[in-house]
Amino acid sequence: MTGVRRFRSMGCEVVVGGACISELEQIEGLFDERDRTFSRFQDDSELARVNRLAGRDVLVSRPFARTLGTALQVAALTDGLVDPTLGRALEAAGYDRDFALLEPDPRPTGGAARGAWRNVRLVGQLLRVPGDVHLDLNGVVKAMTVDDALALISGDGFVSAGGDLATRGPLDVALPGEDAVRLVRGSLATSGSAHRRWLRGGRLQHHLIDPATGLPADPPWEQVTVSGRTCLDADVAAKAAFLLGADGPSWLDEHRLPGRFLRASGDVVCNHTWRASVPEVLACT
Amino acid sequence: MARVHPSSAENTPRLAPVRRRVTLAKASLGATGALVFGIGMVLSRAYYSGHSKQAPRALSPPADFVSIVRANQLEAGIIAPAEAPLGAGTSVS
Repeated sequence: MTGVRRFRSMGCEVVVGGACISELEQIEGLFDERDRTFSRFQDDSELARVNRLAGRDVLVSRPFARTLGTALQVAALTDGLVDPTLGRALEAAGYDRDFALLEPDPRPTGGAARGAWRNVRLVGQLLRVPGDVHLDLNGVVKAMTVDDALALISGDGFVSAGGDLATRGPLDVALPGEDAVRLVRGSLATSGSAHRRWLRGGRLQHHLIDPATGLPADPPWEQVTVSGRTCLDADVAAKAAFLLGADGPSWLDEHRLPGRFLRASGDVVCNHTWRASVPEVLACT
Repeated sequence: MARVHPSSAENTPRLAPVRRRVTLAKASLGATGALVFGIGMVLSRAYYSGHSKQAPRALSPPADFVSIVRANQLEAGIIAPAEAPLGAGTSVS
C-alpha cells in the first residue's frame, strides 16, 4: 500500500490510502466533480439549478438522474427515513451555507418542512420536484463517491470521507468513543449529531432531520456506526438507525447489519450482530 | 279476379286475439333473449378464462415478500476485533 493522502472536499476531509499518483488524481477529480454537481451551496451546481426550478420539468444529466434514482430507492427502502427532499428543512434549521461558514445565529429557525420523496417524479432524465421542495443529496452522494473512489484503486487500499469509509483489504479503524475494530471487508459509516451541529435561535441544531417532523431528530444516540458491504449500505443504515432512536439496534439486527451506538454520556450499545462479530468488546452493552 | 276486402268492423273481433298472442310472443322472446344473455354473461365471467373473476386490483407483491427483499437489500460488511495499529478512523458525517 502506498502512502496516505489527505485533501478536502464536500465539506470534510478525505483520506485515501493505497492509491498510486494517477489513481489519487482520479479520486480527487471524482470528488471535485461530484461536489460541483451536488453542492447545495454553489449557485452553478446542477443541484442548485434543480432546486431553483422546483415545480417545473427539468432535464437533468445522467449522473444526476442515477444518483437521485438511488436516493429515491433508499427512501423507499427505509420507509422515508433517509429522505432526499429535506433541503428546505436544513435551510430552515440554519444550514444554508457551507458548514465551515456557519456561525451562531440568534434568529429563530424557519418553519419545518417534512419529507416529500413520494412526490418527486423522475422518468429517465426528466425530473419534476414539487414547488415547495428542495433536494439535498449530500449523504447519498458522499457514500456513493467513496464507493466509486475505492473502485479506482487497483490494489488494496481505502477511502474515507467524513465518517464514511470503504476498504479493500483488512484495515483497523478507530471508532467514536476510543474503541477500534478491524474492517475485514466492506465499509463502515458513522452518522450522528456530534460534529456537524450549530446554534440557531439559541438551540443546538444538527443535520440529521426527522422527515416526519422536518426538524433535527432527537434520538438517544449521539453517533451510530454501521458496517455494510458498500459505503452506501452502511451510511443509509447508520442514518436510519440514528433516526429510529431506541428501535435502531433491533432494526439493524433485522437487516443483519452490525451496529454500534454511542450515547452522549459515552455509553456504548452494540446490537446482536455487532457483538456476534466482535465478541470481546466489553464496552458494549 | 277482383279481391274482396272484408270490412274492418268484421275483422276486429277475429284479429284481436291474434294480436295479443303476437304481442305476448314478442315479449316472451325478448325476455328469454335477455335472460339467456344475462346467464351467458354470468357464466362467462365465472368460467371463461379470458374474463376477470374479480374486481381489478393494482399489482403488488405480498407484504412478507417485500419485507424479505428489503431485509436483503442492505448487506453487511465483515468486522472483527482490531489487531494492528490503526490505519484509519470513522468520525461522523
